[in-house]
Amino acid sequence: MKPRRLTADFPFVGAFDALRGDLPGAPLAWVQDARRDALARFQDEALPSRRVEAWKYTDLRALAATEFDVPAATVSEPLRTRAAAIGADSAPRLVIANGRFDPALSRLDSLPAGASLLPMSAALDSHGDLLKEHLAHALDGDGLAALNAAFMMDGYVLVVDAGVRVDPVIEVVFVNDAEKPAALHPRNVVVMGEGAHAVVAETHFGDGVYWSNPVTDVALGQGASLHHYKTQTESAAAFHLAQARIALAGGARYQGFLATTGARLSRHTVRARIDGAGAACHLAGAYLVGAGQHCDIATDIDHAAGGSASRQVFKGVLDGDGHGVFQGKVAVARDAQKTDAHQLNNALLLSDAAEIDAKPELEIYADDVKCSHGATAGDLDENELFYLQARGIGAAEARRLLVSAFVKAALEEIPEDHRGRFEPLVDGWLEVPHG
Amino acid sequence: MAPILEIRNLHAAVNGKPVLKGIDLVINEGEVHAIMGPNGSGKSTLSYVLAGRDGYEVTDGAILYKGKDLVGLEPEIRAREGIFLAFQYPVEIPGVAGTTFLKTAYNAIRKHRGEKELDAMQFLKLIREKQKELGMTDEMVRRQVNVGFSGGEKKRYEMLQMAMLEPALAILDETDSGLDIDALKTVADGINALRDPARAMLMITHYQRLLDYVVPDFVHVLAGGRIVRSGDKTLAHELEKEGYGNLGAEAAA
Repeated sequence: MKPRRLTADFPFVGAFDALRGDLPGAPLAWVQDARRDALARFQDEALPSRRVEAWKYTDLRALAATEFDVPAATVSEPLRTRAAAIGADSAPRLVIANGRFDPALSRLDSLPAGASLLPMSAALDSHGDLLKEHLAHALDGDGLAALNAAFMMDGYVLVVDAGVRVDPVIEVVFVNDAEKPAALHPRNVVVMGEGAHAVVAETHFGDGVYWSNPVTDVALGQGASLHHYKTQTESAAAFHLAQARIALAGGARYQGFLATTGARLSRHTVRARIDGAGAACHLAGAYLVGAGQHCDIATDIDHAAGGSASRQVFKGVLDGDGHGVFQGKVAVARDAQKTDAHQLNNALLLSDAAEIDAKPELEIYADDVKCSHGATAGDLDENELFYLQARGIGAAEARRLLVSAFVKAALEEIPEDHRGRFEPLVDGWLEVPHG
Repeated sequence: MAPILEIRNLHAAVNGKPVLKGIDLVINEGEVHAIMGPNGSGKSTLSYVLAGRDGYEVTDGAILYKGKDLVGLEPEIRAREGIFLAFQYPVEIPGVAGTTFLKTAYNAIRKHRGEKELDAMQFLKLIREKQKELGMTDEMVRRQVNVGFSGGEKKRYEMLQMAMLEPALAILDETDSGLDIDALKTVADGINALRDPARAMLMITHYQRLLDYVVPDFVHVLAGGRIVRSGDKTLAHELEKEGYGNLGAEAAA
């Protein structure tokens, strides 16, 4: 037995041959081949155990012990109503319900010429050549990426041609509903041409015991810019293991913001590779973790080209026996001179049982760079609390004001007109106890 | 004149270490008392004990506020009952807007008094009136609490809070420290404007300077955790001339 592997016997894996005919791209031979290759790789890799350094703080044994099967065909009406309420009235929206594209809830026709938003199931037909290259990445990923590739379900594909600017926020909704444990493997691809611009906002939520295992590939051409926002409020019994791979050409700008409050276990992996000078990768987020929850954020930014910048700012609040993990890796290649990389993780521990593991990792091979990292963990400031109380503000309200201020500092990383998307989530979280 | 504050044989410890060793003091409504004393005499400890700060433990004696025992009450309850502590070092609270902070405080106090809470418009109207008297701008009032304020601005902001919250007992801890003469005058004007027959004030200060502008009715000298002398405003001048040097012997006696 290889200790680095965590084997699992998921019913849906055993049913591969029965299932693949119903999954996206079934009539396409190359898709079927890719699925088979990916399954073989998963059988080889299995799930990562805690012996794997990147998984040292996150234990998948509870996930491995759950009998995940295929998802139901539909999600409940209340969940569909929630999905339908997301985004501005005329904004583009793509809804994936239990891993399937939901056309009735989606609105794909409001994009300007030169921009296409479509579900993976359709894109495999229309954009096959473009997707082949991205989907092949699964074969150098971990077992989770391989599993996603083998059982690839619907996700969103956004293709924006060179010079095209998409102004309205593109809403992508992943809504999941499982009466018995179900596994979902959404696959997303974003390809932005030279100088293209778009804002994508993902929302993940649902009911029941399920495992969402989304994989997202983003390729930004010269000078392209993408704002990529994500709200994760999965069901309290859910597992959410997401990974994104970002490739930035020269002058490209990627800005990611993650707000995560849901799931019993969540992990958000972002791997960015900066291949051109002047590119900037900006990752920020807020993780709110209550009793019984585990949230892992793993970033890996590879500065392969000089004169590029990365900035990471994360704020975490942990209550009860909530467990947070922040692993931030920055690598600077030998000729990536004049790299400017900054990383910061601040965690607020509201209870004695709460825990944060922060592991910054810098691998710098260039000599003319500016790299900094910082991590703090602590309780609320007693002086601040007393000052508020001495003005008549009750202890609970004072704590809420201070925690809210702490978390919302992360929102200063994104433009003001996009902060309103996340503020109610933070306020709502603070309204109820999490100890 | 009814007493607002009655301190009887007050002993208090900070983290287990005795600091106040038997203080007796009565402040009636309308009166302004000054407590002076050298560093380490227990002046700030007294202010924190009165405001109810965690870690400042009353080990003996009593504190009556409007006839009711204060000991054991949470700081926010004391504030809502009308006790205001102007901090020696006002605390910066990044991320909390000044208006949110003060409106939350103001409405918490109104609610406690059984009064209707003010909405945002009513509150802004009220704060504009008060801020003008203290020479503060909208921008300063909206800013994150005390963040980016100079020493003088922080003290003016304390006075603005006091004017808004209209306490029955104001405790001013070293309000003059760190102020230039112009800022000192502005702050003193703010204090004088709040002198009221129904309000009591306790000014804690190391120097007599503030007392030239806010003339106290009584002056007490605190040394070694006890009040070693009491008198009228002339005592402040005497101390200014002779210093605290010879008080140590008296305190020990």
